[in-house]
Amino acid sequence: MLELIKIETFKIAAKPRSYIGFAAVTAIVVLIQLALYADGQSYLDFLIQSLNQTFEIEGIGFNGNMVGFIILQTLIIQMPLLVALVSGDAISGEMQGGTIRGLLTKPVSRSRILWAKFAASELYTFLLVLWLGVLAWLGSLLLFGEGDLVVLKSDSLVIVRSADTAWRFMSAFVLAFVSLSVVVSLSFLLSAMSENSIAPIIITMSIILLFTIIGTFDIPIFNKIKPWLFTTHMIVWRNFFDRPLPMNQILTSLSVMLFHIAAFLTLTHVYFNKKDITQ
Amino acid sequence: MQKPIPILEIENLRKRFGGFQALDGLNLSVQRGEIFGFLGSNGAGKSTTIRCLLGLIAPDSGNIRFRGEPIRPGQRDFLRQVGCIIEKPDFYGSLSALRNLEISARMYGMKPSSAEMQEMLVLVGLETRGNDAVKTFSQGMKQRLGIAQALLHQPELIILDEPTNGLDPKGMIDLRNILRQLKTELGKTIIISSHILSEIEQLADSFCIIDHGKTIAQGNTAEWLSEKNMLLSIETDQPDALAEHLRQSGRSVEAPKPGSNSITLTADRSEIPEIQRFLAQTGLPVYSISPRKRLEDLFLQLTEQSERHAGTH
Repeated sequence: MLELIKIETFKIAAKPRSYIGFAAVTAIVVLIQLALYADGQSYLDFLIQSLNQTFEIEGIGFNGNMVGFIILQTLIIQMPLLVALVSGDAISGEMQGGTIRGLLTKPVSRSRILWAKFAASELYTFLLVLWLGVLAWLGSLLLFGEGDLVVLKSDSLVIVRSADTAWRFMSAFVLAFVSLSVVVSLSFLLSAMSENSIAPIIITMSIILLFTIIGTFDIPIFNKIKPWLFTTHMIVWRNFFDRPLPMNQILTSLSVMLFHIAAFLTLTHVYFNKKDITQ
Repeated sequence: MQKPIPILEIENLRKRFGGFQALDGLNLSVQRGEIFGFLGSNGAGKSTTIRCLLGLIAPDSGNIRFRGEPIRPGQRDFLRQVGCIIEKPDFYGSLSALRNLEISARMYGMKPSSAEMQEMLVLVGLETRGNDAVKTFSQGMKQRLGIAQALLHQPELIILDEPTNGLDPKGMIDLRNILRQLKTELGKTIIISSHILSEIEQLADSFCIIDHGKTIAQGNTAEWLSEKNMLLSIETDQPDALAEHLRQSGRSVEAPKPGSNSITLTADRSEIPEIQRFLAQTGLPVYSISPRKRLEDLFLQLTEQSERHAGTH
């Protein structure tokens, strides 16, 4: 199995599209960091102007933790597209290129091929999140220095002491990885069903967009289904920067996301094992 | 003497796609060490049969035996003994030929040395292109690389589905030479499916013709194309009258096609002088008698019979 995972990882590494994610993350993070480095205080003033009407706020300055948090909040929206670029291509890319015939006539079961591909896609996602973490958080700490993290909410603000931020960031990245794994498993299912590699990516993003739109409307019928939509839970990483920590909410969201991953993978497994390769 | 056990036997293979019966009780038998031509028109069921055999498509029913032992389609230990190219060999284009070979070999649990892979490239004449990206290869070169990939794990059985697709004449000759070499020097059994009958006629020791998912003929190529059962094409102004005379003398004559000025009958080579004498006695004008016996004729004859048979049911 390890050999198969190595092969699939090598295939991902050999494709130019696999580097789009890393290039995009690097470009966006560096751009935001430079912009905030140049004129961060006016951006911060703009953010806290509504709170200034209620409270007298002093001594809030930019630091690495705050920049890391802002970048994470901004970039996490684009991450699903970047991971779907690779995971959506995992099976459909072999279909489109015709290499699926050679792959499935090797003495390896379809299930093992499927799991190796999923593991390689997960490894890619992990590295992308890790790269985001290194660049956005550790990079910002180097550039802006340490300091307390001030999380601005619509009606309040939460101050997290500098010494208390490391585990919160790391937990947030782990949860962000899990939420991206839902995207990986969804695009994986669509990849197994498609014979070209663009359709799974577009459909994955369309589903995320649709569910996100449903999530923004406060309509009773939508409110009933919202708790079951994986997109509702994909932003749960933010809860790690809340006080007190809403552990029940985090665990519920984690369970819903793990359920989605399991469901998408089971469907992929059943579909892929029964699929006739006629092309 | 006991008949040798075929390396591969397929019995009563069936597959339906929706309302279309792609395979309708297909049978075939391949002997060890031979080149086996698997013939049929486009859509006859050749690719479906091969895909069923290799596990790419799940058949609805049927039996497959490998070396006399029953196997499931796509069974792992069977696939370990098979090297194949389905329709056209496809590779990871941005990777080199050597890297593609390595990936394929690793799927068989092998870790071939550079020398072993280079040896394969020498066999197919690509020894100078090993480090080049496959996307720079011509179709013929990809076909040859496909054969190298199919051979790398030393399979006993090689299955090539339409291997001459997209090849230029030189590519076809190269491929033919490689296949002969594989049979004579390495003792491989090769199944080659094609609708290019002249290719198969030059290569195959035995063949099977399928139509509408059914086997309509199978046998030894030399025996089928021997001097027995030759097709004689007789050119005349009066095909209907001549056909009637020949039928009355007990000969098997195909009904003349409307507007045609020739008739076709089946006879052994030794009977030709007697037929000539008979034709002279009829007094009808005969301009030529052409013996024809090529796989192409046999194929047309059998598929037309199959069409007529299908039409009557």
